[in-house]
Amino acid sequence: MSIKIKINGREIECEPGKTILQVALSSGIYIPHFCYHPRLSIKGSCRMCLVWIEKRPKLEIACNTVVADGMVIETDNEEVRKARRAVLEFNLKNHPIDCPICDKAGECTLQDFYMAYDAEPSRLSPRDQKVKKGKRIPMGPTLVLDQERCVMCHRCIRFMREIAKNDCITDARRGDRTIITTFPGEVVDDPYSMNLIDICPVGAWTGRDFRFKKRVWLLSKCPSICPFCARGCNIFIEHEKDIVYRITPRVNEQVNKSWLCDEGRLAYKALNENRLTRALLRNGKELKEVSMGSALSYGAKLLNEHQGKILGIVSASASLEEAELFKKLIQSAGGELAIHRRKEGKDDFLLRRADRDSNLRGLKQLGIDRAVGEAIVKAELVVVLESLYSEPVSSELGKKMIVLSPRRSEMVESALLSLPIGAYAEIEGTFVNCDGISQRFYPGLQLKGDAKAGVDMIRFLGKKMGIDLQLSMESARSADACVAPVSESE
Amino acid sequence: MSEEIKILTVNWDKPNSQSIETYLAGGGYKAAEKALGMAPEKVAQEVLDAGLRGRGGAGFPAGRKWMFMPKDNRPKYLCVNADEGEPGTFKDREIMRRDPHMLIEGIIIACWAMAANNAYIYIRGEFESEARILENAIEEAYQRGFLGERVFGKDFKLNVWVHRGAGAYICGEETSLIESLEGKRGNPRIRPPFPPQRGVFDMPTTVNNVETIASVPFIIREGKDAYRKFGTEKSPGTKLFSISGHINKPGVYELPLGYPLMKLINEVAGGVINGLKLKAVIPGGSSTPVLRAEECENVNLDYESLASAGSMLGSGAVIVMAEGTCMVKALEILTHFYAHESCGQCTPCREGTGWASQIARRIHNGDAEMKDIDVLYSIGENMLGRTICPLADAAACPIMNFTRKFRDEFEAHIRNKGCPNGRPFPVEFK
Repeated sequence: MSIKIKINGREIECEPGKTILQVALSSGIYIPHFCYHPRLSIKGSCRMCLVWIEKRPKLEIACNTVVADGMVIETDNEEVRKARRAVLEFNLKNHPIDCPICDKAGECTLQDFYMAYDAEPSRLSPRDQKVKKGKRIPMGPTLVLDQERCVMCHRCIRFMREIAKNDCITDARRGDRTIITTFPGEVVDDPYSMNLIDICPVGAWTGRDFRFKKRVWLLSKCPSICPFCARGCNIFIEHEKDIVYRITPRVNEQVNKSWLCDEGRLAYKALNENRLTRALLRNGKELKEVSMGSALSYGAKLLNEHQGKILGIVSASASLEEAELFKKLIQSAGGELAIHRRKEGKDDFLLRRADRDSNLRGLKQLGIDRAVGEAIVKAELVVVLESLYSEPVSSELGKKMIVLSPRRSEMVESALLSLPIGAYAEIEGTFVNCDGISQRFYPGLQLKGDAKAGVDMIRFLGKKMGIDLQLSMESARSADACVAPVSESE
Repeated sequence: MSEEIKILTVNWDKPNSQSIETYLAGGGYKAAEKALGMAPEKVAQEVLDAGLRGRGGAGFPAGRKWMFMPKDNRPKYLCVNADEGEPGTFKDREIMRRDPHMLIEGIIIACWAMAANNAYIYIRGEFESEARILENAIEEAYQRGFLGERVFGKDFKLNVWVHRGAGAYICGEETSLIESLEGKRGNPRIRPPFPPQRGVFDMPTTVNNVETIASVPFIIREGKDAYRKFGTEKSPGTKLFSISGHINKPGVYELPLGYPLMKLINEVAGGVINGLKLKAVIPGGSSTPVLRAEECENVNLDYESLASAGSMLGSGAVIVMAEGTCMVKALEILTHFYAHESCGQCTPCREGTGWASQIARRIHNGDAEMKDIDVLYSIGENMLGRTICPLADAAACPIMNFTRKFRDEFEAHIRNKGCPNGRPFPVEFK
């Protein structure tokens, strides 16, 4: 059963029980709002989403007014515009207007709304004082709070209470002296704390890590999948000239909703630091840079020489495509396969999984599920396919070892031959997450130095051995699942 | 007083009026016993038919409010709003201080009508002695079996608690009262859901003013027609008026609704102090629009007459201002109050009250320009009707009315670069 309402003269069919704001947003009609967030309870206090409704004595908030059949709504008449201008003027009354030094500038809702709906000169008299509140207050390991920039939308309070289940922040004092603060003696020390930076519509919550590093309008955003655990959260990698500055969540209803854990966010640093950019060959105790051509030839020679006595070790965070080709390469050289996993963490109630590899389920689909174990003792040559966050298989292997890695890892340091491959952000591939959802990702950053995508590197090795390795992954390719559209504006 | 009407004030002047013996001697708790013999719906109907309207300020029919309570088997609550904080209002305090049992009897009747087994009296923190009086009276009622597991020996359980507030004006607003009662910060809730759907502890709840509840025993004992003998057709019954300011006999008076305002000022309350001329009256507590002296002439103290005069009956707190009162100072005091008491969640109220208070102070101190008056007025305009609770409306009313009705005084302050009166009030109170 559906009902009909009219917004700005347009007839819209909608489900009963929805609010005006929900219906409007899903019909492409934007109503500005600060405090409403689709995943948090309704607060209704920012008063930005006031709309005109026929036969109502005054403007009503769209976020808490349920649609009724035949309702006639105006979201942009003079009365509504005037009310919005008033709300913006009020919000700016005690706001420091320090956009030039604010990290949020460029993605700040208050800034955008002022430009879109107000843009009037200030009526504040030079004689009027702004209320002074706390500036740059350290709020735990990841956050800094500026109470003067706050518009009191209470999103942070509701996020911590309702989503992170860590009720540590509150509003204190009253009137225009109201502030956001922690309960006495508490700090915001939570694995999900950095979501406050995203949901804060203004620059009140900023991240310690990102503060003053980069103006946001200089950053390019590329969609990707977080490889830090088996959840496979959808992310944006935000970079300028291939240097990554931050990772932010990308909405996906089925996977991570709107959230991301702090660990996953801060893991971006590995994309910038300590990368393997050249092929390295051991010469006694030293590692020497060699050309890709000679490295590949030497690799192929090693593989041919040790036919039947090879162990291939795949990181459980390798993409499906890399793993499949690697499996074919090793099997064609008569070797055996094992899987290498990162140390387990702990499952939590929201996103983080104990399994800290991004593609364990994918590898199991390929039949790669044996742990390294005793197999390594028999092997003469060990070939390791690493990923960005791989941990060392073992510190003292004492074996001949070829390592394909995006990072100058401990394994690279003890390898005979190392080949540089792209990290997840630089390649195309598929991860299957803990719930069996295949998620495809595409290159967002350039490959570093001589590095090749893992699949290409393996194919080249094969070619040098005289084998033509082909992917048979039609199923995975068609499973471009789950890159769900951003369903609701936040 | 010429015509003595005593419904709410009947026991006030008796010796030892707080004790249950005094109350019983005057026929007390007969109404509660009678109500428990009636069907609950009939009790609510009787109160509705008597035309009793909420005495806290909004004037919503009490019986109707009770009928909104759902008929399911969730626990239900009555909250008696004794957080009397509206500037100028001090009527509920007198009821609780001088006749607490009338309130308790009213609670029993109201709870029976709504099938509520628990009642809270949310009393403002400053009323410490009143809270003690109430606790004492509740104890007496328990001992007599009027409260407890079997009220009047019937199969009806009722517990009453006194809950003391912590000093916030906003907690007199029903939903923030509920929040505060739950132990949270007193921020008003958005409606819907309304308290009868989800109130205290998310259960159906009715919030009534002390005076409303205290009026109930008379209605049940004497019947709706006896109550309707007083007051007007649309505003029946009597009401307590607390009159204060530049008046000879400030205090609380029980008068029938529809009583002429000027008669209250000149006869009942003994006229304006020192024989001064009347300048203005705030008729229903600080949040109701101010009336100039000439506007008061034919106004009667009932919901309709005051509404047509452009003001409101409110809580019946008449604030009298004599000739010589500086209206800019008066507004400064009022805006400061609202800026201090705004809970700070809704944008217009949080920022508007503080801004208005700043401007009013600047005008009074002579640190302002002419355009500040228009900014001040527009702040009121931009706050009115735009927030979760009516505190912003309450703050906007005086801002808009004072600047409109006494604009010349505001301009004089700005031209004069300070208060032209020398002293803001014709009478200093110690």
